[in-house]
Amino acid sequence: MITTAALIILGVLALFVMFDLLFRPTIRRLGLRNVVRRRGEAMLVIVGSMLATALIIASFVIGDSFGASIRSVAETRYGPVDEIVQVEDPEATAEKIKQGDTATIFDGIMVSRQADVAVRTETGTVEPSLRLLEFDIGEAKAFGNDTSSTGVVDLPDTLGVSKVALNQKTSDDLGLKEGETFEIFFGPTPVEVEVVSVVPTKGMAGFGQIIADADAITRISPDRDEFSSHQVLLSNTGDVYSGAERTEEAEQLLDSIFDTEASSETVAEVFPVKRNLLENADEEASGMTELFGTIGGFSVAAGILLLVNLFVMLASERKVELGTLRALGLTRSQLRRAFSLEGLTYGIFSAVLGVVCGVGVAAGVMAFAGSSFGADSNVTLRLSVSPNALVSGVAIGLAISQITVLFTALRLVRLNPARALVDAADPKRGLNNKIKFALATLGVIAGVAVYLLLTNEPVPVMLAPVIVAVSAIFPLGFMLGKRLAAPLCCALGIVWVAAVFGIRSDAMDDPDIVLFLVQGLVMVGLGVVVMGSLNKVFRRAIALLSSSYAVKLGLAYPLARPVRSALLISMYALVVFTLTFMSVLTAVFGGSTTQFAAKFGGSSDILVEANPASPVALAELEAVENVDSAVAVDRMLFGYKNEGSIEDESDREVGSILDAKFAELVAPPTLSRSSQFASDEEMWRTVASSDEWIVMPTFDSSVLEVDDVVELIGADEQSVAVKVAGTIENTWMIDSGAHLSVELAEQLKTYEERSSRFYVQATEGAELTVVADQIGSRFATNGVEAESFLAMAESDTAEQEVFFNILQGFLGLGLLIGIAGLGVVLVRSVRDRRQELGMMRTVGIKSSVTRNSFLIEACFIGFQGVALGVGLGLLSSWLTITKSTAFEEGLSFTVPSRQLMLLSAIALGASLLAGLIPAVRAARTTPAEALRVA
Amino acid sequence: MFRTKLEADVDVSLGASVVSAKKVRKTYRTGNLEVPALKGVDLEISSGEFVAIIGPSGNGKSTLLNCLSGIDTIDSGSVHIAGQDIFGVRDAKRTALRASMMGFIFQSFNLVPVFSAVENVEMPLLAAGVKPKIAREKASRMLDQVNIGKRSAHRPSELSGGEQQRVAIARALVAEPAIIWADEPTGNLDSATAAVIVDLLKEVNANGQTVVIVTHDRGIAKQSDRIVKVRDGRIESDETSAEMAGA
Ligand SMILES: Nc1ncnc2c1ncn2[C@@H]1O[C@H](COP(=O)(O)OP(=O)(O)O)[C@@H](O)[C@H]1O
Ligand SMILES: [Mg+2]
Repeated sequence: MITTAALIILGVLALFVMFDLLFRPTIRRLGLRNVVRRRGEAMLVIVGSMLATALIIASFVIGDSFGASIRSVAETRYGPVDEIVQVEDPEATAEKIKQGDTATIFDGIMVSRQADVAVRTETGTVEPSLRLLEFDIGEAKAFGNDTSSTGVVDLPDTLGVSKVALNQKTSDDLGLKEGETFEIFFGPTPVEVEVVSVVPTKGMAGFGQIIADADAITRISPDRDEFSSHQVLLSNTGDVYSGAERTEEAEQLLDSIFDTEASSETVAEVFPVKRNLLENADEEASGMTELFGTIGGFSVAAGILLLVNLFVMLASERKVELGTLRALGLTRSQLRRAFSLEGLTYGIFSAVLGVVCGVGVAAGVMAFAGSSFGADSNVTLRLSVSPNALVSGVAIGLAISQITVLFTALRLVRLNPARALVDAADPKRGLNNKIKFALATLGVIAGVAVYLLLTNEPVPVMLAPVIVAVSAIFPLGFMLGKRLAAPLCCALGIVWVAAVFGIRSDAMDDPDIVLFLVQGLVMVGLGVVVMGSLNKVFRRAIALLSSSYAVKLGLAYPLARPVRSALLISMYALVVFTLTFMSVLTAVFGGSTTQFAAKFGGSSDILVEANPASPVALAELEAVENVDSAVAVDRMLFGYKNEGSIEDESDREVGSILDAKFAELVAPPTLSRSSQFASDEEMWRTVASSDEWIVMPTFDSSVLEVDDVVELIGADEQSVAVKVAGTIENTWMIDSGAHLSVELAEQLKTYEERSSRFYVQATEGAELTVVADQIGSRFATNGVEAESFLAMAESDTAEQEVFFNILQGFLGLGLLIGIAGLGVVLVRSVRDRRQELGMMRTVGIKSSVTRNSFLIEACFIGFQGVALGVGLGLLSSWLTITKSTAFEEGLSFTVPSRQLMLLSAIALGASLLAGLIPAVRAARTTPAEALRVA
Repeated sequence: MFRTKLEADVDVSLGASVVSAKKVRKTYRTGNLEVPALKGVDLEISSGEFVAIIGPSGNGKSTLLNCLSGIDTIDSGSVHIAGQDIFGVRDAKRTALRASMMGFIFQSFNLVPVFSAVENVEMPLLAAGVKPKIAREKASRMLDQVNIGKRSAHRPSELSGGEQQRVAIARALVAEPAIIWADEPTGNLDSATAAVIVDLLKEVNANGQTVVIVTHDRGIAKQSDRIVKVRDGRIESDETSAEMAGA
């Protein structure tokens, strides 16, 4: 949508420019000659505007790449399989589906069976959990319309007794080759099997890590049938990707087939795996694009400021020239059009460069993300560049730069030819007071109205009071004086924007990332005004500290050109603000691992997952060294209804069945608790022995609150009404789901004791990872995986940190924009001020003084930008973390002072660097040379 | 320390040679284009002289002035200011010499736009190491002397051309330099304002300061002690007013 708008705007602009280019030779000459007049500077303008385009393109390409990487899982994991139907009696179900008139939709229907097994190789490597998939290989080869996508095309129709195939990835992980043997544990006694073939990791051979003939599982463990699951695999007509387009039809068809079935003996659950995957890929893609786009948005905003700055400088340099042209009879519109033509030329060059750099940046991000996350994920991250991404990026980047140029040009050509000719300042041409007053009133009224009307829209709620505050500057100026009114109102605006998450948490619930962009932009804008009003104070303070002439000179220019300085400071502040915000988040998450661990593990330390087919006895577990005690938690599936609403009847959630020991040993802290209970302990104790209460994960707390009545539904549709005693944090890492008592579970009748999960408390002072490793290796062939809650939290935050680092690196490019901008401005200043510099040198001011003055100027700007950015970043992150609902509760705010110092040092160092070239240049020219009229 | 050492080197007693140029050559090179601007100039100026340099445009007057004052470099020859070989020392010393004993006035006034009038005027004093407070006082007094004391807080863009040149002159005179270099100081001004400025220069000259002025204005040249005529990078004639009067 944005792309379309951008394309339309560009189209219109291009039309006008084309017209001038073809039919207006004066404009053409003026515009194009200016481009080539100073090649070096044209290059700087191009590079400056290129960065913004590059960042936009990179955002799109990164999104696309994540999407494409996930999409490719369709091949490596599913191949021709589009839907998986989980059933008890696969043969009958498959038959039923075949009998329905389904040939037009499905081009593959087959049954398979899977079991989670542990594996031990001859070298002693144990892998506790692998998926063994068995099916009729002959049938599989004819499954779907593209045999090669099944992954099993090279296998014989039967592998034979005790023979299996491995996919490439599993073969690599376990170091097992064709002809070698290994042991499979599915139950207490192992079975030796031989690898007859290693097949590509795709299709069914991607889904199943071990492939075997149709009767293999029964052969391995005749008595463990109940621990395996059966499914019917369906392939829609079409290829790997296009097949998923027919999933909707397939679902309807399957519904009708299963519904007509009178006896409800068969419970068939349809999983549209491929469509879900592809949808997830699309979501992830647009999510990543949005994330990187928004974070990059700060840099893009900095880029826009850079462009404005460059053009303002260009125009001031050409002021006399523009005055002459106006005096010679060129109209404003002609000058503006010449500027536009010049701008578009820069824009086109920068778009081309932007594409190259944007793709480069995206490639870097993907490579880094791939090397950081890639190892244990089943998604292989790789770069994917679509023409769409490039077109969108170029269109948006170009539209932004051209609109900026247009508005800047409109402002610039409003010069008075006579005054421009003698290079005198234009008289201040303000609006008259009546109009100002009317505008201010309008602003206040509009702000109040918006606030009252759009009372739940986060962006208006955030912005309306700011509009009121800014509008109030003018009327307040009469009472307090403008000097005081502007900073006061802007400061109030900042306070509001910073505090709004806390004050109006109702409207700011679950804030969108774009909201943070808006917040940052507004805060920095207002902050620069406040900072500007402090300039006099700065000057005094610095004058007190140093009487050096270089300092006086270095401050004189930025202080005398407040708008230009404000633009530069904003560029820095925007980027530093975001970097600060993200550093704080990283530190806060990193510092909260113990808290996270406690949130899920309660007072226990280690989570142990076992394979129910090879159960571990609690006593055995407790006998492991350094295990103090352990609780077995049984799990079950059930459905639930809340006041008549039900998600989907066939959807069942997992639940944990707790006993008194759990209540004592684990008892994770609640997020909210019914007032019936005085403490968490009391609540857990009550829930453990009650058939009235249940504890829900936050996962459902958007629907459920404490004391709500919920109807639990068992497998045979029997239901029990219970109340929500409290809520706890849920996470995919643990997925403990709802917690209910043994009594309740028995009433739901789906419950059979089948412990597969333990919460372990280690002895005081024991090294948790060591204990977890001991448990893991002791019971590996039982399929046991043990990890401490702390390690889970740490690896989760580590991942988050890597991701934040990537984002910070991405943002760092924005800092480049700021530095480049400052450099460009100062380099041009040397030219601008050439004669003055010459004069100073002539009257005897040392070249070291003029050189230092440039460095001081650069530092002064850099320092203000960094101070503003860090200050506002800290303010905003503090309020967001402690006062808003944006992140988990209970996070404690920490200032990553080392990082912030480093960040500030880098930014300041970089601004010094930006001042260095102009400083050296300024010192090098002889006074006579500098004094010559250019 | 630096200043005292410098002053020890410097001899500016009335009538002594204050500027001594020998065989000065200067060629401008832009790309492969060579413009010989000075083709071997010899010139002696004594302390307290009022010298006018005249000649057609483009013949090397400004170049001569720039080379004599050391704000430009020369290709060969030598320039001594008060006995100091200014091209035999480093740039820093040259700069210090300017700060301590030279004042400059140009056709385009070259004021620093972000500084007020008084800040522009105090610049040479600060450059010469005078204390800021004293510099400010002296600068204000100087502005009073050139009759724009009332505008001392204004920026150059808020002043007229004549006023700007007065500020520039105040800047040139404020440090009471031994030599004042003026390159067409009246070129941008009406004749009345020009006359005021020449009067000012004559006044300081009467105090013993040396004035070297490049001008196109015959009237101004006539008021000088000595007229040096430059043509095609050489000194064509060099006559005192008395000689001219006698001729
Ligand atoms: N920086 C420069 N680069 C190249 N040529 C120059 C430069 N400055 C002066 N010239 C040339 O040197 C000659 C003398 O210039 P100048 O001393 O300015 O003359 P005048 O002051 O007598 O008008 C002229 O031909 C001029 O074009
Ligand atoms: Mg000249």
